[in-house]
Amino acid sequence: MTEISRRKFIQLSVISTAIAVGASGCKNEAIWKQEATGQYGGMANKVYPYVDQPGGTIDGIPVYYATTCGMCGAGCGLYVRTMGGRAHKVEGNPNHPVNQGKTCLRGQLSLQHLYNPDRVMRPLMRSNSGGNLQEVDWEAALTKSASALADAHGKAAILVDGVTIARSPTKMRLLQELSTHIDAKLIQLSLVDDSPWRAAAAACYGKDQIPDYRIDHADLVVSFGGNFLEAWPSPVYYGRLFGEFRQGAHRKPGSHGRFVYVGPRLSMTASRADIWLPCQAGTEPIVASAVLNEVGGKGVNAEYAAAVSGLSRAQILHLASLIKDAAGAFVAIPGDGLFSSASVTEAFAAVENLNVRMKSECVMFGEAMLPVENPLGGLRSLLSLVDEMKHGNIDTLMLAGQVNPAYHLPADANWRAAVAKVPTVISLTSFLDETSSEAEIVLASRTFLEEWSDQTPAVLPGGVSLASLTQPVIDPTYITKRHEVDSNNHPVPMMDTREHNDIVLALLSRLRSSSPLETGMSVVRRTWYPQLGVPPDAPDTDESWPNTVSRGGQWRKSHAAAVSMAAASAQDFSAQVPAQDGRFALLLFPHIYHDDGRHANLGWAQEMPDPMSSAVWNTWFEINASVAHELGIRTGDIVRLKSESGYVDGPAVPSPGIHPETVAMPIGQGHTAYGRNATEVGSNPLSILDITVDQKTGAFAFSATRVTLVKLRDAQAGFHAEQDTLVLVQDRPHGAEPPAVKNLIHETAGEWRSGRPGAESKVLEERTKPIL
Amino acid sequence: MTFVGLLAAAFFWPQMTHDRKTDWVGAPGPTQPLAFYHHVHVDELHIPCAYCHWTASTSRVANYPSVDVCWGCHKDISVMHPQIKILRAYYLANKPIPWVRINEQPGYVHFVHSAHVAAGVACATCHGDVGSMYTVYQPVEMNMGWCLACHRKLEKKFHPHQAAVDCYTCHY
Repeated sequence: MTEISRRKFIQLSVISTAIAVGASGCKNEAIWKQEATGQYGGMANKVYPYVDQPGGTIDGIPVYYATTCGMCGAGCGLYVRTMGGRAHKVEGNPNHPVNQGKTCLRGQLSLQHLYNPDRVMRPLMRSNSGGNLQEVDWEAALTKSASALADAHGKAAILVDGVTIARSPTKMRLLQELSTHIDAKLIQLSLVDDSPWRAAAAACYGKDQIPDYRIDHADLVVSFGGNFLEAWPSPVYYGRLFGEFRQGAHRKPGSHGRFVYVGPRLSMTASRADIWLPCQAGTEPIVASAVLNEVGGKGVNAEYAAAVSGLSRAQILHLASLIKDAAGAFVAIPGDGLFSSASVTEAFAAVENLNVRMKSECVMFGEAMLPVENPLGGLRSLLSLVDEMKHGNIDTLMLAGQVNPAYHLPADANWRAAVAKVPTVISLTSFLDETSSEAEIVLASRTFLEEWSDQTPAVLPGGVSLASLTQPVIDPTYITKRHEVDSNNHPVPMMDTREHNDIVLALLSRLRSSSPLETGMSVVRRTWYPQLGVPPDAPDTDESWPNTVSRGGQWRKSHAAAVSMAAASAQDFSAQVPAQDGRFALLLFPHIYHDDGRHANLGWAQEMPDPMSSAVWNTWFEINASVAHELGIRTGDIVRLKSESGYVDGPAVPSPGIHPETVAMPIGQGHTAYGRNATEVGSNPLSILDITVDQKTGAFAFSATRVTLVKLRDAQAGFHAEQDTLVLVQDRPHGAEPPAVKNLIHETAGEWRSGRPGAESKVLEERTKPIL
Repeated sequence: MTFVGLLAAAFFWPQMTHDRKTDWVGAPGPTQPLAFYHHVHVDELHIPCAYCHWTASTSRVANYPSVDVCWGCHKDISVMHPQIKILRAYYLANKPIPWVRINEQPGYVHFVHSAHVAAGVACATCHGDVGSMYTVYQPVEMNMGWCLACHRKLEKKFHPHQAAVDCYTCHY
């Protein structure tokens, strides 16, 4: 064996290591460049340029599209910023009369609505009844839908989402054509129904639409349960006017408008008030009537109102004197707090009476450039439909848009039992919810950012004639699955969805055995051309259309719609005192982010803390702090509310900002099937409601239920998702409120205590009877 | 000698971390779906960079040219070349060419091409002599120190508005 010296060994080992390492290093480098997946993505970091770059697009420079927000019925104008064909950011359209460049959180959420992973990507159908929904092609889904609609001639019904679709002139025109063709009932459903408001306005001012309260012109605003800065009817519009009202350019330095809120709960809107008058739930119209009596109108007397509402006579007289001082620069606003009895329309009229009496200069009406005929709506017509479904008189039910009776109707209405008797349910929707997930056929429709449509805003700004246009800002056919190609080596689109109008047109053409002559855009254009002064058969090159599209709609000054207060008439009011059966009044409010529950599936909406309670990812019961103290309930303890028809559990939030005989709860959570963010989050109070219907309009009075309350268990330390743990993002040690809110609450609570000394111990006993 | 050997080993040791910073830089560049000859277009034909990357002077990004830009000339020129056949296949199938991205700043850096082009900075200052590259590669490590070396040098020349060294110039 050859001896190797130490020197030789080291030399050899260094050389061999260097060769080995060097060789492997070079080889490794080559592979590495092909496979690198580091910070910058390496080989996987691809750039896909356009094949044919559209004229006017510059890489890195955004393209803005003007469109209309479809997240609620307010119809704000949007500018959507797009890059490379993708929507990136939503801003307000500064020229739009409703929002003038502003958006609310729900407008910002529209991108999550668009890019939601729980969207219906392709048409779905059940192969047999009881089977699962399976992806099918459009031809199969449309053929089956059309034959189901044709077979059900006279025994079909179309249920329309009253918040968005029923506000679109073009969509309603097509749905009306469809319903006439197959002789179907056309019913709209919106939980927070504007029909009582419209009916009251029609009676007082002769106009069947929600009035525009120009609070920026007012010195005194009195809201009777109207949470106009939150969910309904047009939060961005009123938010903007409220800023003007407080510190607008036309105000003298140091002068601010005064705002009084009458209602049992310190809502976010109420927390902006100078004076909060926490009346008994459901007595807002009686207070309005008493104030009307004091300012010279015909109403109930102040002593009676004080006894019923729990306010002091002095408070009512003070409010009346404020109103007298403000004279015409006063406006009274009703709102979603008034849905608390079977006479909602009278309640709205009682508030409007004050405007009529004071000849308010702040009530105006805008003009709908493209009026929508309001189809039959309200809970009453829906209940009669449910009745017919139960008796087997409906063979095919079509649901247009995110209409969700399985969630919105009380359990007593028996929607599920009724819908089980309908052989075919067709749903045109972008999301599967409690109702559409039970459907036989789901026609995957596009969201409002991907389709041609139009909208007549819920509140039309005074003195303006307005119609708002929706155009697609993104083409979903170009959103493709990564690394997946079909047999022709073409990229596979992520979604195969169609515009709402295209689907209805396809159904109509199949029913008429004709080929569809129109597409989503041309059908919208046909609705609009008469208003633009263009003959309906004008060529596509007509200039007025691109101008309209780039503006996001049409608006111009209108003098036709000014309201004449001299001709306005006060309506008779018969006071309806809410039942005093010793139970709590359950006040439900549409949530500022979730609306009526339709936005609970958006992560940001869940993640944003509620402005008053700061709770996230949950529902909560707001209970008066002193009542909670007497009952031994602390923040986060799980309590149970029980009505005649059921119970609902959830965490308690003791708050000084609520009347002692009222429990408040947000609407919008407690979904059982609505995507990954909403399902099994919180609880749904709508299911335990009594069925109370407004006598005049048939609207759903969702705050008219009375409940008992019992504590189930203490809050546990730590977070337990299955135990409804309450998460308050902004913890307030020792109940510390922001100073302004604190003053408002404590002044009000002091007044309340001095007005009604020691009245409630017996009532409280009654209200918390054991219920199990 | 052992010490030298260990130093050599450390020097030649293969890159084991998933860090592109050191390995990505330098020739050869990664394989592209289509062998585009920069040396022909730039060195031999003297076509200016902005002829194809035309948004560099107007936008924050310098674009990868759309396929129709290539097709504008190559529907007639060198049609029998094997690489042009690949181009034709992409164009006629209406598919974009999936180029592998060479130069990129991380998301927290807002680099703006148009500002640099307007200040007269030549493309080759950062991108190297692309005309001499057979497969394009990133010539230098584009880290913050490298940016600042130039910005500091030119700060006085352009002060106060150009070549600023404020954090918010790029990180916002």
